[in-house]
Amino acid sequence: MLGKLIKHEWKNVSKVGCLMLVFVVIVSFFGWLAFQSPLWRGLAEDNYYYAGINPWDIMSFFTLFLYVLMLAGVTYGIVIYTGVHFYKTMYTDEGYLTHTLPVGKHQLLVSKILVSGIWVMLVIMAVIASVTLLILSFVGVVLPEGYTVGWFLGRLFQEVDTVVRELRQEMGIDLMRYLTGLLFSVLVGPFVSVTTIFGAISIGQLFTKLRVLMAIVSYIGIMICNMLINSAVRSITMAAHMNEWISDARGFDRYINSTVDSGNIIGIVMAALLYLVSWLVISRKLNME
Amino acid sequence: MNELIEIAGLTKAYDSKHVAVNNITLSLPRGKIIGLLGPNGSGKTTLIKMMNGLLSPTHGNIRINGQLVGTDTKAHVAYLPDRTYLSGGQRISAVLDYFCDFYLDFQREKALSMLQSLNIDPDMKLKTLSKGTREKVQLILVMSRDADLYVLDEPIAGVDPAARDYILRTIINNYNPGSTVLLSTHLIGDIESVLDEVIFMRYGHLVLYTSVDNIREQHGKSVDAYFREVFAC
Repeated sequence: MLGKLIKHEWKNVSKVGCLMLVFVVIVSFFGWLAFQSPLWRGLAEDNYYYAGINPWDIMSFFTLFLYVLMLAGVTYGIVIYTGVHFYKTMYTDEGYLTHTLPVGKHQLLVSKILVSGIWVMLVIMAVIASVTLLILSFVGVVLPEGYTVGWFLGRLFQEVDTVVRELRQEMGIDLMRYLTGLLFSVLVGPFVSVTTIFGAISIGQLFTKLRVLMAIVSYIGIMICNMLINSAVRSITMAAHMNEWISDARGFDRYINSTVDSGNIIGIVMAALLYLVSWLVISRKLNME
Repeated sequence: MNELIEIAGLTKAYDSKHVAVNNITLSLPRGKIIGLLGPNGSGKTTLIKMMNGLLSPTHGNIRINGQLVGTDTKAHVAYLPDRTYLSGGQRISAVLDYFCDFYLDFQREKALSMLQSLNIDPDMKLKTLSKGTREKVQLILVMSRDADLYVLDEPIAGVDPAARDYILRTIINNYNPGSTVLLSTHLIGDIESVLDEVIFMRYGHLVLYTSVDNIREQHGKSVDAYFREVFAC
């Protein structure tokens, strides 16, 4: 039954998910268009004379501002949409069908978390790809004549490789480990986010009135708890590595890595607890209005 | 074992002042059409929701086919709620696929034939249908299952008399005779002729559970007339 649940959930969520991906493509196009302004092209010229601001430049800045705003919107938008979809299919009239299906509660939750998490991840990856392409298009515009983006990328990877090696050899800082931690956050983060939101929505259902408001309040409470725990762990880690940090760059490395690791672990533990809360609510405390 | 539903000490309290279902103990047999009758706020819908696992009882339990309400019982209970539970953006054919995937007892051909008899195109989106037609589609979905128990919450409320006739005909012609139909309504006069047994509820309490014949023989009245007498304000 899990496969069937995932199939139908995918069908439902993918409509909005695909729309958001298309939106990212359109926004990216406008971002690229913004860098076609003479202002940016002029940066590549040695004897560029700035003749004052013109409407084309204003449009360029405004488009870039909108680009940032839209991408931030789409990133939050997909997370909010998955939350709304979860609420709608679990706790409103549509929940009458969802909860009378002959499927287990774990199957229900897993299918929703899996599909929503994948879509959040896809949209985040699309946003990362868009920003990367925009940076490359900017580089393409400002590079002096005779240089290509390919040349730039080749040099960049060479330099990064050198920096990574030198950081490790000279200062004992393992940049790759840090990046691995970040990549793990990007991959696991979407599932942690949706599980947290679903948990907050489920907590809202424990109240007899104002359930949506209580879900929002619960989410804010959970986020505050998460930040407090993270801050406490960071402070303890910082205090523990302070002496090393002052005397040795490895202390800083350990601090940064342990910060990323603890952030990931705290997020996963909280998501696991909130999954349990959601499961308890739908299996023992379900009260459809 | 002829009992299909066994309800033991069932109570649902929303808070200390509001007890929707109060300590009900009841056994319902197979192969009957049972009317669940009572004025507004008598606890009918709450009882039905608990049978379908949509509400958690405060005390007591319900067994269907000897099993506590859960995943296994849901495979054998066809439930029609008093609201639209289908997403408006879906096509009817997609909903048929959905039911086929999850309910092993769902008969797609039967559903298609019922839709055809009402000239409803399965490729239509639910949001393009009128409220009455959406309700009929939902009823068709429920009655196309070969379930042990059909639980229909107010199936004829808010529809015109012609639609009522269609709904009642659909129920009578399509339910599995070996199964039980539990039907909640205010409109007793309209359904009286199809009922075998009735349950009267008031303020969450079970007032009466008896056969329709018994009411007619003992009280010399129709169920409708007897209901009016029992629940007279």
